[in-house]
Amino acid sequence: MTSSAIREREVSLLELLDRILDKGVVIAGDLTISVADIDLIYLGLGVILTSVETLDKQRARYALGAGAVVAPEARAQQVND
Amino acid sequence: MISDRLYLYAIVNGVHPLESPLAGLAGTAVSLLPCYDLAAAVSPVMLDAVRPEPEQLLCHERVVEALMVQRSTLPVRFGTVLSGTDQVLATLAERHHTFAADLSRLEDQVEVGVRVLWDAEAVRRTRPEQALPITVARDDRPGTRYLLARAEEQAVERQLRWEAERLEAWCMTRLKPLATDASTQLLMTAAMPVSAVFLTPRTGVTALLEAAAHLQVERPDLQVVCSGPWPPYHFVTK
Repeated sequence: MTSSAIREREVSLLELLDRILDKGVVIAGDLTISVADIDLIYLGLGVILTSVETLDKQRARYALGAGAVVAPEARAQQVND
Repeated sequence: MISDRLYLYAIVNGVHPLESPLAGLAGTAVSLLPCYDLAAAVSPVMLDAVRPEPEQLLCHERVVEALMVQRSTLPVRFGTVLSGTDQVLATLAERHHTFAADLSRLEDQVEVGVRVLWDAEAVRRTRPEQALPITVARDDRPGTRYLLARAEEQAVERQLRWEAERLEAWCMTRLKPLATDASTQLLMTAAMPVSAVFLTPRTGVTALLEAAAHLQVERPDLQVVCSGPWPPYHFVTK
């Protein structure tokens, strides 16, 4: 796996973590993902910033599991075209 | 070893069978457990096999998104394991009214994330001097130095908060009219003044992303980063 693919995967996972470990329907079941795990989401957001900034510098689009991180300037270019 | 419990991915509208097979955690088949006009999407699982690991997180998301293509879907938080069919059906029955209302409200709706990033250190450096509300004669006494430093820190934080609120208002003015609903958090981290999520119909995603792109053009000193479309995780009733 290339370094950009690894970074893409990290960003994708952190955006995903922010949602599926902290949001969504909550039902009391037999398993609880611990509070320590939830804290990791917010710790991970710092990593998102680092990764996203790097992504932006590269002016590239990165596909996410659920869609895409939009490289804003690239999109703006498309809009203007 | 036989899987003894059920992993719950989502609550869906309609009790008709899945249009195509779905693979859940550990490759197990996802099935629907109907209850009145709703159903729970589940697959068998061993309790100690569920962990917040990348492959499982992505699998959970893939299942939810595949369901969303077929019907109105409420994503369930990762890691929800129930003891068996009886517990799943009891949960659906107990909260049926809430789930049904959410499924109706969120039908064909997705969420788009918009994060506004800035160079926090640069913003701190450009803070106007008048942000410090008091003027005190400078001296070298430790107590005075300490109090001045504290006042300075608090003034900086107030200024950052004020700037973040301005950015939030700017984003909401432009993007909220394109959305069904929205939610924002300010200064989730020092480098992220605004983290917003917008609920929008699938057909409205492109317009929302284009509007976000125009925000970026207006403020090249910031980074406006979008993600999605996602299942409406932020907008379900917990």
